[in-house]
Amino acid sequence: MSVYLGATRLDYHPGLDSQTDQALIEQCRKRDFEAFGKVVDAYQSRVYGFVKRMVRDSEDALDVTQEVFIRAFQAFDRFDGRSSLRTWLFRIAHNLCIDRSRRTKRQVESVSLITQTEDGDTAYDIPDVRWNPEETLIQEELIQLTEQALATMSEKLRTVLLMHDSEDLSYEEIAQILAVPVGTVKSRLFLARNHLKATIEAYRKEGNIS
Amino acid sequence: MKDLHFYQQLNDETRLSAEEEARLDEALEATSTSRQLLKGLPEEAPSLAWRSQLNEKLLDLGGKPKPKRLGWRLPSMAAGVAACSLALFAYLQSPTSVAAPDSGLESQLVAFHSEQNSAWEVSAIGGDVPELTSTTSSDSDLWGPSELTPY
Repeated sequence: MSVYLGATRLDYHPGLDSQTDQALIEQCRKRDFEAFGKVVDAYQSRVYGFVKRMVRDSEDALDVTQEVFIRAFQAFDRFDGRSSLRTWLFRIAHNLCIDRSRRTKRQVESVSLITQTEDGDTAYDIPDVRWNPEETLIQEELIQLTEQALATMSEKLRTVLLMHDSEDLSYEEIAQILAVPVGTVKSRLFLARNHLKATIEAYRKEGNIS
Repeated sequence: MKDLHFYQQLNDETRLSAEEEARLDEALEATSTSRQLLKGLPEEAPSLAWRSQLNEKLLDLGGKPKPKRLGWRLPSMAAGVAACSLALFAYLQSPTSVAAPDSGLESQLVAFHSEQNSAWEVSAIGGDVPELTSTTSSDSDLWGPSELTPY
């Protein structure tokens, strides 16, 4: 399913509710193939979307997504239920993406947000007003630029941005997945959003848009 | 310079003061529109072939597929069993000839009895007919010698 910019998805939560989760978890612990199939149905698109933007290759993303569900199926009896099923799946997905990244040694060159002004001072872009990119760019360009920004930011920032802004995971959930303090999650999210903003602003200043 | 210090702290992921934390929260609130950008990215679902492949892998790992539900088949099967039972009962209750065992004393006795019955019906019973056994008849007495003399 494709959802484009402008169509608000803030209340869009595919997946399972917590009660259904609990019932399925019990069945999955017994290695119930059908129950696990429902888990796959509920989360495959979201997990794939996250993994695809993390590994940046469709074929690799499909393989990694399969691996996520295989690992989950194998380890279901060790799932203690302290976190939600969704958080647990994203933790597995994140770990596999990091493993794969280490194996391929693919380093992401992040773009610095710090720019030099004409007088040699360093300018920092701390937003003090609400930013409305949709006022200036058309949807297709925004999609392209967002993908570009994701591709050029560091893995750390990208992970937090996708988990928070795309998958609606809370600061606490992300902190739990990444095993970092909540403050660190917030810092990374802020830097990631600024990277996204800088990418779009740079495109606009180049005169690519009217 | 304040911004530089703040940015440096964010990059270094150092602990922020309460004031800096409040500033970060405010900044995050101001940039929350990025959510719309992220949520606006096209979603793509893995293909059915991908899913089939995953199912095969999961089954190889020892997934236990549930036995198929009987559903409507259960009443049909029950009706079938009942019909078979009824037919068997009817068959057992029907009168049938008892076959004599193929060998042994009992069969010999039965065979002998049958032969005796047959012999009796053919010879002995036939000999008991009154016309054949009695030499005198009330009717024959009515004939005179002349009538009995051959021509």
